[in-house]
Amino acid sequence: MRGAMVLLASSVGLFVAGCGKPSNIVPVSGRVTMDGQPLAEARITFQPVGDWQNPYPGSASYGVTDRNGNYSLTLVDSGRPGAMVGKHRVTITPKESAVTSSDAGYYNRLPPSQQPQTLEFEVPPGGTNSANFDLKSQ
Amino acid sequence: MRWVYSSARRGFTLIELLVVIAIIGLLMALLLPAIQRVREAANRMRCSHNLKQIGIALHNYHNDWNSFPPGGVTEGCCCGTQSGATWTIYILPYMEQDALYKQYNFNATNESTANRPVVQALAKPHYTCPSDIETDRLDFPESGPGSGIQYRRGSYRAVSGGSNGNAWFDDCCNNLPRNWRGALHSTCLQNNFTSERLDDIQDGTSNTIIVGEYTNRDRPRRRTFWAYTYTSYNQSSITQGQGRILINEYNRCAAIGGTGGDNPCKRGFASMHAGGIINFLFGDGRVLPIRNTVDINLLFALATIQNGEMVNLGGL
Repeated sequence: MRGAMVLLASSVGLFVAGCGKPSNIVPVSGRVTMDGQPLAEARITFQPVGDWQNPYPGSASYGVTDRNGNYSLTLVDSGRPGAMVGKHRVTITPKESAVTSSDAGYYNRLPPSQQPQTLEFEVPPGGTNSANFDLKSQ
Repeated sequence: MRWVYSSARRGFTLIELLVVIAIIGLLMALLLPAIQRVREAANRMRCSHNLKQIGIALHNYHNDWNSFPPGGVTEGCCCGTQSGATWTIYILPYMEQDALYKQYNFNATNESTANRPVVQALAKPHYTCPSDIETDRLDFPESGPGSGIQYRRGSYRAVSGGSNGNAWFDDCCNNLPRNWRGALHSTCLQNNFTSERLDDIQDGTSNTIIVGEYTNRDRPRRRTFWAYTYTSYNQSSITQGQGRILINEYNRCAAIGGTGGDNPCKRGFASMHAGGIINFLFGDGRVLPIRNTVDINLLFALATIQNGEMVNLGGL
């Protein structure tokens, strides 16, 4: 009986160990400001950049800034924290244009300070807590 | 009672029986997931086969009318106005559904009682993907002039084009760049949009997606309704930079947020297939499975018909 228990425990152990392959999902957080002031309730989207030979660079990530403009990223597909290592196209959407009720769009009748802005960011292999962006309201 | 104990007629002990039952149970447990996988694989094949049929029907329609059907015909801009017919209705004769097509009154609106029998018809098998949940049900779409009317669910949506999250080609009044439009978008009297022809697809038919799958697991009234013309119930768009539109959970997509709030989620592509696979029909009639972890900006390039992306799809 003891032998069976040892066998069971070791097989469970091996199974769990087999799941722990090296991950290219790393924690990412940072701060968003506009003209130097914290930008609250902005939506941040990180889309890993692929190309036609590698169209599956991994799940996108998203975050929402708090009152101080701080955010951390969560994966879109699994809902777990983190982002893929590598180059990303980042879209930052200020609060107002993230809210809608009708099926029609906004037709871009938004002032420049509320328009979404697209930037680039490289997520390093160890992750980062300083993925900071300073936007210009123009 | 002596014979009971004779070795020739000895019964099974309880332990022996339990062991046999346990072994059978173990084998079943191993086998059942495999059966489920095979079932889902068969369902997925039927879903992509339906897309193939839709592709053949669209091309036959193009042969006869020298253009693809419009994604939808609306009487005016979104969102109060009623609608005319939609692409799935125009191609009914080419889907062996001629009787249903003849029942549709093109002089009445999509929402009128005259057309109730058609929009509530079970257009089986080709507009229904068996992997989806409760596809055969009638339900009230969540918005638009038809929201108080029961429509029949479906599984496939036309690709109306690309979007920035603020405007859509399923609304014929939009200010998007013209070359972002898709092969099947809405048309209306307010503008000079017409339906598209094969030679309008300047990016190449093999580089353009024209129909894809959409369903979700958590918001039944936002799923696909095969004959409901209004904006986002059988047309979708690819929104720049927003990978969230490819997940099959509407409410989570809306909670993730981004430009346009929940509007991009209304116009997503998603399926219940394992591995996040979504089947897409290309302009040349091919059907390709695309995983939902694709770089959404590459998919955007495939959704537009004139944005100048001639690409080699080797990796897809």
